[in-house]
Amino acid sequence: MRQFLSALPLGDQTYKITIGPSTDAVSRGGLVSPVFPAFQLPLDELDDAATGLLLCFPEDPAGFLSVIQNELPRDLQSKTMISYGLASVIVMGQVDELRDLASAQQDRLTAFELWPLTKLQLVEREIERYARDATSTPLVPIPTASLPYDAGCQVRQLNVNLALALHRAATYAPELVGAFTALAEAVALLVDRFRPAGGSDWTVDDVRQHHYYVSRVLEVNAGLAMVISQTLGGVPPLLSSEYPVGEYGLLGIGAATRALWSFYHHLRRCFLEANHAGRLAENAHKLAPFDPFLNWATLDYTLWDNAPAKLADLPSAAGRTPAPHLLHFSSRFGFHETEYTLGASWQSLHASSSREWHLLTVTHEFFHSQVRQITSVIYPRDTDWDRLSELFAGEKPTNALESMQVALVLAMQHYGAARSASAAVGTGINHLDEEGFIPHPTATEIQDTLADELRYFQEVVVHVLDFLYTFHGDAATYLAAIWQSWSTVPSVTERIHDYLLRSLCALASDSVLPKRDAGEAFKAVFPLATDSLSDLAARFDSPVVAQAVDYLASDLGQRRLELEFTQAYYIARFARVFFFDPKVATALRADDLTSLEPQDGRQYVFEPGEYPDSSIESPLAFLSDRFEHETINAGPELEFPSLWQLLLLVDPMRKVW
Amino acid sequence: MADETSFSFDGRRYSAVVVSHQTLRSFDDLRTRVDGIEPVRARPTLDDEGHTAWRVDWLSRQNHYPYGSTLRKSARQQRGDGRYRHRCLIAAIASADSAATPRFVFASPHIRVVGAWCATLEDLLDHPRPQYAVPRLDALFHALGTSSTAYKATQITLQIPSGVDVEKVALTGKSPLISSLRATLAPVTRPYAVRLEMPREGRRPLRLHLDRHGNCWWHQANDRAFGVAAHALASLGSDGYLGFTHDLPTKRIVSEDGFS
Repeated sequence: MRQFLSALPLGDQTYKITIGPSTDAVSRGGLVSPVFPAFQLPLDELDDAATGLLLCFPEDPAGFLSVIQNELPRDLQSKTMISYGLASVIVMGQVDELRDLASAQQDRLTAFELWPLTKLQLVEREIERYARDATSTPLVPIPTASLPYDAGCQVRQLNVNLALALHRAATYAPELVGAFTALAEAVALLVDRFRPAGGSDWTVDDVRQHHYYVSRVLEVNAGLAMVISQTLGGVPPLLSSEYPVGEYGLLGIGAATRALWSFYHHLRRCFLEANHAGRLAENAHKLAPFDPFLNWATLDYTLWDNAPAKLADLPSAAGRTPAPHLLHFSSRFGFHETEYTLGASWQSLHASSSREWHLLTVTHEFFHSQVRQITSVIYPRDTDWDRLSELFAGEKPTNALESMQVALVLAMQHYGAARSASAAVGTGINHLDEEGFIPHPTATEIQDTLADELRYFQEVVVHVLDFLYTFHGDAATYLAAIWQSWSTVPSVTERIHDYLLRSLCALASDSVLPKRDAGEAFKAVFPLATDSLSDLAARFDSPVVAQAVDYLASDLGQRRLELEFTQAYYIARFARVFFFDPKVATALRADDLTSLEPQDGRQYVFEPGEYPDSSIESPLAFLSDRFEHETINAGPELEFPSLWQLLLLVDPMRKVW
Repeated sequence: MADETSFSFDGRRYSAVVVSHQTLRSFDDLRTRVDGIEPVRARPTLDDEGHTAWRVDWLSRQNHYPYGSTLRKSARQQRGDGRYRHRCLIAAIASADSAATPRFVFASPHIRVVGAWCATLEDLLDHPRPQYAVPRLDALFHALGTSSTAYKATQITLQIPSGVDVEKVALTGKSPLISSLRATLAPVTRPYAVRLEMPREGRRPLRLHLDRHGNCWWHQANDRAFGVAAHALASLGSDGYLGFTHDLPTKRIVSEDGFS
């Protein structure tokens, strides 16, 4: 179904234009990009009779395709193609008709190029071009004069990158203008932390701090370079705007990346409105304490459910707006998240509806930033360590923040001890005494515990949030999603135990048990995971999943998992109450396009090749609905549904900055 | 035993959509463009609400009533062309803007007939395709919960988007929109459907159900009930509570039992 639109230079500004399966034009200096029939209808041939191609840059690709589907003559559908580029809709036909179409739909287009063809040859100077005259308020460049040379170079590059991104976004992706403005403000604060030039009196700490901040600006620059290339590449004049990945060289991947931004914007908007970190920072030290259960004999998680510091019930506070991430597809790092960048796996570009490379995995990366924000509020400050030690020695917390800090340390302490103990299962070594007693730690030991275990703690919390927010507590779909995604990551097999434990913790966060006891919870979730993964292994050929099922079936595996789970369950409950907000879960999935109890189980009734009149309100609900019903693995037949899915996500109105 | 062929549609649940198309300016336009619409009587059967309505037979090559349905036998097959007669109701309702295209309410005792009729329209009325009315439930809920109107909501259906076991909850009563339970549920739910009670002089009010995709239904004792339903839909339109979309409502119906 995938074809390539090719432009082969013939000399004298003339190009041979073809649509076919071959990418040969590239080896002869030409450019190609994949295209697909937009409506899953047999595409008309691009032959000598066709006198033109209209390459459209729609502001809202799905909206524009809906107009073609619903408002315009039906024969246009077999002449319409879609692509990954900002020029995401391409129509073939007679030049006069295409000119009329472009004129009539100009309000929906940020730009277009009309290529008149004579016997499939295009003369570059005959191309008709239009680009919307859009400007944005230029940014004030960050001054560099007083900065050391290395830092000044980075800031100079940053100024130019931001100006370029802003200029292109104003025309081709207006929903991103606010993101770049917000990013500029955030990075200006970083530059303020640079040390001025002439640092002969710098201490080692000064040097370390300086390079720390410079490295963060470097990261922003790297992210911006990706964004300019991916999101804002492939703009007119197309024959001169080469995107540096051969297969997509002619049109780029701008529309696909806009979809990624759009999904991210939706997640970000819901969490910005909830303002969890801001509300927690404003209120945690004023709210009543809760029992962190220093003595595990008294554990009763129902008490937490009624704590005033429960995330969903925190009083409102002034909003905090963290810098936006820079979104891109990454072939080097796959799905990943850093302070300023968020990457989706490159394979998601052509297989975003496959179960292995599904775009839903973005949520996991996004939740890392949310967990980091909340943890940074709870995380003890320099002055808190001694007080924490006193709390562990028996003093009672005086406010919710102190309770949370104790719980945070306790969670990591028990989890760390359990991991050590579990590693010794079968070796005869026993790190815990029979009652699982852990001595009261000193301030230094508390700091060490947090430094050692924070990453594991955050991973478990992220899994809990992914399960509750993204998969709304649907265990089978959740396990299928994460394990099919992990099936492409060979290193998972080296730590299969860790990944299984996280899975169990996530499932346990939603298990409502009369007796909120870790042992009971394990009995509930272990068979659930075993059954779901066995079922998955039966229909999805993956050594990773098979190894997970084997581990669950082994006596050693079960013993280790049970031992660690009894400690890590505390984190799952902690995350459920103090990191999860059901109102946000609702906002994330709310969409009037969804149907209740539809006959085939789908919440969205349209299929690839159909373009609804209304925009997708919840990319999360749409993607998870697609995921739940997509039964095949990555392959050529999924390339069109993947691109169709991406185009439906692009929403120029989805801006939240 | 009742004669199935003389099956009375009265007392049945009727499903309906509201459709609009720029080429359909009158009932005669509709008959001209859509083959197989035959009025049962020469004159409109109802006009007491200021709108005109016809009881019609819609002729189709397929019997759209499902197997096992008592209605299936009611779709008599014609001699000659072999088409099946589906008894339906059509009303032309004026929009608030008198210059605007009129809207047509198409109602049938079975949702499948409504769906098939919409599919026929889609085929016949290309460039552009027809549009269907969808209620603006957020605005309607707000208005009904804060001010006095000619109709009132006695049942609301709320979707729980993040619920895995419970997807919806229906609140019923005199004023479910101003109940404390609804206030509690509001942050974690979205409006999905409403049952409006339309007052009728000397009779029990008509209960008109609407979902957010534009599907509506009511129980009909006689043709006058259709007039009330059509009038109600016209009022909702003139009050600004109806939008229009190309997306087919009947693709999003829950089931014949509906969402009550």
